[in-house]
Amino acid sequence: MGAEATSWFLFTLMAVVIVGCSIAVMLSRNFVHSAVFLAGALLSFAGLYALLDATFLALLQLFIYAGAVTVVVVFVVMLTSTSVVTFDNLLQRQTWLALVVGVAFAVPLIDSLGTLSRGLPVAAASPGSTEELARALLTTHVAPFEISSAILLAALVGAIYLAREAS
Amino acid sequence: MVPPIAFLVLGAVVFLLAMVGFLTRRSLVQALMCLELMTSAVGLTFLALGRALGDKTMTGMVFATFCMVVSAAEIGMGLALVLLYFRKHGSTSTDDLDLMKG
Repeated sequence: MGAEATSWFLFTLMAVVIVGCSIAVMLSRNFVHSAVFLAGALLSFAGLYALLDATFLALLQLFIYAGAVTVVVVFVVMLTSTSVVTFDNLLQRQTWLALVVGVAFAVPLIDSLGTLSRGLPVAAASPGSTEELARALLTTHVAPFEISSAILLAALVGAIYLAREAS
Repeated sequence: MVPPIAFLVLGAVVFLLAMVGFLTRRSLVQALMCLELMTSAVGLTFLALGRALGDKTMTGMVFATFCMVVSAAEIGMGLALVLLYFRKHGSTSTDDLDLMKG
């Protein structure tokens, strides 16, 4: 099996896992199952990032999403397990509205994808190395890089403040 | 090599699926999970486009990184808010978020 066939096989495998897990996340009635399917989808996203030669981002995705985020989601599911959430059948109440919004989003998306498919070069160009990414983050994009650290700090402090036990 | 358009189509499909899920689910936690899927799909789109256009400034990857940062902050704050709301009102259903209803 050549490199071409291997990458197509990996892409198809992960695409199927992602789409299947996304649907399962939505339709599961047990939130813990939802969280497990979410982890599966996010793991496959990490695989796709690796397939796009973004090794560093694939690792970040693995640690942050498949690791940390999934654990936090499971914690919150456990802590709020006594909550009663009613499940509507699909196609009930505002669901048709959601579908309308989805179609309204899908039409320009498909349109722009069609435009892109004609304009994009077929062969992928330069794979970016982690070194180049680090250089770009600390030179060209240094201002948003610093701001993002402030965002993370603010979110950290805010989350602790909100979730602490009121004494 | 898998052409970039395949990644873009996959990103669009997952984004739309997650968006419909976000709009239809009654559970705040499940809505947040759908948000995570949406931001991951957007990150995939950034990466695929950045690679396809072969930009030397790494803009695609940088944007995907910031996308990840924002979504990590969002899930942290979101889950803290869900926890707070649950503690005050004993529910995580969007049907019970009617404090501002007149």
